[in-house]
Amino acid sequence: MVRVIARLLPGPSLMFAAGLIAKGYAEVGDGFAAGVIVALAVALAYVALGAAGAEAALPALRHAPKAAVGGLLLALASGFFPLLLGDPPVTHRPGPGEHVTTIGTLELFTPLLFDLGVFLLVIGVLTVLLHHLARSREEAAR
Amino acid sequence: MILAFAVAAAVLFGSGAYLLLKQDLIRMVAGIILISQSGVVTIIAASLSRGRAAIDVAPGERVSDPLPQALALTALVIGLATVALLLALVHRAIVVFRTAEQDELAATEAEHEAGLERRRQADREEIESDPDGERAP
Amino acid sequence: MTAHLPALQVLVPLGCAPLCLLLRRFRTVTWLVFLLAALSSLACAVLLATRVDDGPLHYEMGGWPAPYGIEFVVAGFNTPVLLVVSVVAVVAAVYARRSVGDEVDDRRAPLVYTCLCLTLTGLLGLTVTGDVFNAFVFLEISSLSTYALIAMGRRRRALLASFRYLVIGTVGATFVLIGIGFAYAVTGTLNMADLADRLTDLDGNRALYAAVVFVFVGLAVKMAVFPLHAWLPAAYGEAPSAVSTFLAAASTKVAIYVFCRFAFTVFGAGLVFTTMPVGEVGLLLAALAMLVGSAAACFQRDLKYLLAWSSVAQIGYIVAGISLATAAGVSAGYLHVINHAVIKGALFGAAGLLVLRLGSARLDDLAGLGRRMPWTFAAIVVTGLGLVGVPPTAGFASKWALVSALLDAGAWPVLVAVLASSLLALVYVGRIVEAAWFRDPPADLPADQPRAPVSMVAAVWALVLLSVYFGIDASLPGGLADAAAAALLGTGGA
Repeated sequence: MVRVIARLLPGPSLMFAAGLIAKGYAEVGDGFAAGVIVALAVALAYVALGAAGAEAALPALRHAPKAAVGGLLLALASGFFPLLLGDPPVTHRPGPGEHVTTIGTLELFTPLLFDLGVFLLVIGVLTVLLHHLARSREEAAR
Repeated sequence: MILAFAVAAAVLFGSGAYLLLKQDLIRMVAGIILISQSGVVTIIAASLSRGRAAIDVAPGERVSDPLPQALALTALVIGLATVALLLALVHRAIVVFRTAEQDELAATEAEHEAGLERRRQADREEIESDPDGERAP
Repeated sequence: MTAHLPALQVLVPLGCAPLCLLLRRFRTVTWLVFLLAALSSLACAVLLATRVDDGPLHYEMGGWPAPYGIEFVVAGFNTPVLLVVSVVAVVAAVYARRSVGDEVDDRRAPLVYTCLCLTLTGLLGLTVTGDVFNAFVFLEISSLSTYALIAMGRRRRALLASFRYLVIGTVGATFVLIGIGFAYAVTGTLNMADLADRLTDLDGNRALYAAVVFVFVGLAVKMAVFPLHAWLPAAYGEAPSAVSTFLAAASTKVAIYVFCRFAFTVFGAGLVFTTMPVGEVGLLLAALAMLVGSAAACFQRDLKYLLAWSSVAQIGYIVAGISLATAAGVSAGYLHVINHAVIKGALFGAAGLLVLRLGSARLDDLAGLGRRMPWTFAAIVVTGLGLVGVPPTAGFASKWALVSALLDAGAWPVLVAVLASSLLALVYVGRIVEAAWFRDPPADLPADQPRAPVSMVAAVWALVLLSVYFGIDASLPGGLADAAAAALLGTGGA
């Protein structure tokens, strides 16, 4: 039972996370919370299936380091780019009060990129951590 | 600050401190987790208020303070990083020393040092018995 | 671009950290990245230092106005700290190339540079930030990377040293966090200047007293003030040499600066030193730190541990000066922050040269090496005399300033402790000299040992010469220290 849930949970958790990011600027939620929710699903997979099992069931987990680094770069880039335009770092575009393109409740502006970066970073780092802690225990047991 | 929060923070800190005094490294990790959570609870308690989000509020409406959430979140992330580092260290210590008890850690360390000292002594004696300074390959 | 200097000061090292991680296949490149981060922060610090004469610089992150957004402040009270941290970082970077290559295995070397970048970010951020919660975040950034750096020491004991520091340090950081929570609860603001404004109406508020106590106890852990110093000797003794050079010179100094910042410009000298007995407690602990630290240093068998214990005593001098809360005292404290950073950086660097050559820094192993390694031991002796406070070294200049400040304030018992600690310093520096010059070298010393790398010797001697220069002509550090004291006490500048 737990194993089945562990296998299936990451899908819905991703949906839920996407929702959290989308409504993040009007209501509760942000990239970090979304990342933690997905990471919890991943953690359940690691606990239920073990490192090797979890990575066989969810091959995407092997790309966790890339997600972490990519997310970090994305977050840093969206924070740093205003410097090139002569504004202080972490200024956002379009600025306060300007028109923001929206898709439903999703607002397209640069903090969204920052949140996506944080989201990827959180998932990536937590998965890498889980991977190392889970694998080393299995190695020790052997 | 509400009494319940104050008590919660105090209990968390107290249990954490109690665990920190234990011999077992894993328990100390748990203690650190509890103590850092007590800090987060304090931050939340410091400014808890319910109301609308602080963006675009009509005058006279109750506004919830947006800061504590951000602060608590940051403190949580830092706590997470601390615990991750702590677990990695404990894991490494267990692999190297083959124990997670502080007493035993100290004992293996002392043994290791004594072993090194004996080896140094042996080196010195070997050299003294071999005055040309030519060492066996 | 120049308007963004306060942000660049912190953000360039921050950006360099993931770069090191990305380029981890190319070890030399990661070193270059760290060197670049250090050089850029030095450039920013120098440029900023030339600008604060016209008044403090305020910088709003993300363009959010001050009490709401995070504000960076550069003024007379933090430029000396910025300069010290970035100069030491550059020296440590030059030093690290060969030292880290020798003491840390190749796979982990990029991690060392990543963590060094993060530590630098944390220390610089802690110095420039004008927001109390942001200060906590930078405190944790620098501390976490410091724990990781210490764990990379060559001996297994480094793991235990790091674990102990992590546990004590995290409890300390939680204290700071709880203190900030209390301060926020009573004022509803996190901006330092705004806090100071609102606190003036809150005379006699108990939560405020609690906030002061929590913040200062937490900072005392990071400063390694006497009863909370237990983590320091093992941490500095076991860390890789380049790391202990950097940390010994920079990290406790920044914590001391943060203490000053909270005491004088956030909570206010009236509350901290008149209503609450922080000054008296500080003087008492400082005196104990001098005696205990110097006495313990005399009994150490390992040069790095000896130096670390001596740091405990030297921090006592600095805390004594600041606890007086007079212009002369604070200025003497700052002067000693600068001078001690230079001196201890050079000494730990020299100890690292010995580790590179001998594989250890045990005093027994140094027997008779004075003639074999003249440059290294000359550096140790010159800076060691600075620790004792012999004229005309930098140590003498700051100790003289401290003694006259103590005399003015009539703090006789502390004065006695300073003198006793100086005598003990003579003993432990004497032990090094005795081991190096007056003992017979062991018979097994191979004649052709590898020469110490030029880059490391040059880095150490740069600090040695700087300390000698500061001893002969104290106008540069003295001027910085006086400006800092004036800015903190509000008698000018800020």
